[in-house]
Amino acid sequence: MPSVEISVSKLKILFENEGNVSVTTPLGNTLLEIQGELEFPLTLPTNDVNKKFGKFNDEHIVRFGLLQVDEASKKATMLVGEKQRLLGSVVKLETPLGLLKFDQSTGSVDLQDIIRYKIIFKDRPLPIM
Amino acid sequence: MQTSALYSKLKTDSDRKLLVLKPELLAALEKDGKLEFKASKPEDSVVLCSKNKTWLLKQKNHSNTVLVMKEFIPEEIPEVSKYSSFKVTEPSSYHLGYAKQSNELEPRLTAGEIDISQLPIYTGDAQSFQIISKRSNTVLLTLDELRQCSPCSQDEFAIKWPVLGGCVVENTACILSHEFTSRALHITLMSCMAESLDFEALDLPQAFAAVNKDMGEAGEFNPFNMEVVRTILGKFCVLTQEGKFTLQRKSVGQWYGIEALRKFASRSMIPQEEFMIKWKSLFPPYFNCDLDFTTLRGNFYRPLGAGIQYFSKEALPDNPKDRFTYLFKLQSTWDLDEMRPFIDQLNTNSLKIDSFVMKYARRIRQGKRTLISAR
Repeated sequence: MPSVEISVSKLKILFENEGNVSVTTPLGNTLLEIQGELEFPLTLPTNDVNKKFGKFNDEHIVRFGLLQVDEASKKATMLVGEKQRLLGSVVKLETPLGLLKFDQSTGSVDLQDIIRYKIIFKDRPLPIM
Repeated sequence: MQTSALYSKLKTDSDRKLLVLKPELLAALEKDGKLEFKASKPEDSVVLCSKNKTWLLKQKNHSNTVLVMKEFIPEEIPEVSKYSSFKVTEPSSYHLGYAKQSNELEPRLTAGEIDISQLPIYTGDAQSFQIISKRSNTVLLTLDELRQCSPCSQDEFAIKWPVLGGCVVENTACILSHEFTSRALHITLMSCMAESLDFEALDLPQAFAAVNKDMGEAGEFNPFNMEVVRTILGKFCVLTQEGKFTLQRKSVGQWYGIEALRKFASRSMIPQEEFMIKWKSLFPPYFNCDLDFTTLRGNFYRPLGAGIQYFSKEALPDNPKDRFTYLFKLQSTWDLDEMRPFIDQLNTNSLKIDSFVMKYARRIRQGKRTLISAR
């Protein structure tokens, strides 16, 4: 590996500082952090009673929860499956994170987005009664 | 309050990574519009380079679940009752987690480096250069190839390369030998003085013409080509904004000083006053240069406290404890200022030098001086 350049194809939008608190970047990415493990199966189960599994662009996907974000109070609630509820918040990152895409076939790296906010869930999940 | 349904790919993309964008990195990216990942070998540490800065990348692992998500529209939209037994409103958006991150790349500002250990050495003799180039442990690269694989930014490379004695001979990146550098510097200084060139604003073609005025007349091989003169000017001058070279008399003086130490004080010690006379005698006649003895620190020791003797840093052990033992074997008590160049590189945590020394030796203050001796 002598050298690989990071190209910034969407340069202008990436460097625009957002005035408002917005968890979703202008390019549509959102960062979700849970202090713990979020487990879901890696393969399709045989009986999918609740129809949680599906396909998107020929890739298998799973529906794992619901997220409610109040951007004014910066509070977030996440319901995972049917039994757990997590309380979290929207925080501004101390240093923004660049989302890089490494393309093995062309050997190029693309800076796809700059993420300035994340939704973080630090606490233990609460049961849903 | 906005409600969003969360989905994730069963097999998340593994080609995404998160890079901590520190302000100076963000500024460089905004200014240059690009950054470069570099590593001298695939197994070496990776650095990130802007035009003039280099950052070492560390992978910071964590055990949290970090999902990068984007909005999408699922092919099948379930009824709201399917989401949860908890009373929820119907989702207004759908997010798909497509990349799971278990680490972040953290950049740390570092000094760019050029690995010259396997480059051929040019002694000013074309035949021996060809022999050296054919050795199996020699790496033959063009200057562009070396620049590409050096963990060093473009601007840092341009400054460091001539300082290391880097040159291009027969389209191959090489290093000028110490002796040849001395010869080339001496001839360049004498030629520029003979042509009354201004040392504050030297011009490369003019300096080259001056050096080559009486050379190669009878068709003999002339080792002082343009690239050699470029290296000499790059090593001993500072490039001005106008593209001229300003001679750094201090670094010229230091080079001649180390030469004098090697020549007159390598086998046995020499009194400092006598050394100063010998040092002065090495310069080209009428060349004006102040002799600053402190610039020679790190190249000598004082075997009996008074006289000085040449000593190369290369001979020192790498282990800090062994290095201190070795230094105290050479000289029982050191002035901290004279010892510092020998131990500075061991101080990897950038402690204050006084505190660092205390870990391995005894420190005594004597007026303004700090003396260091073995425990």
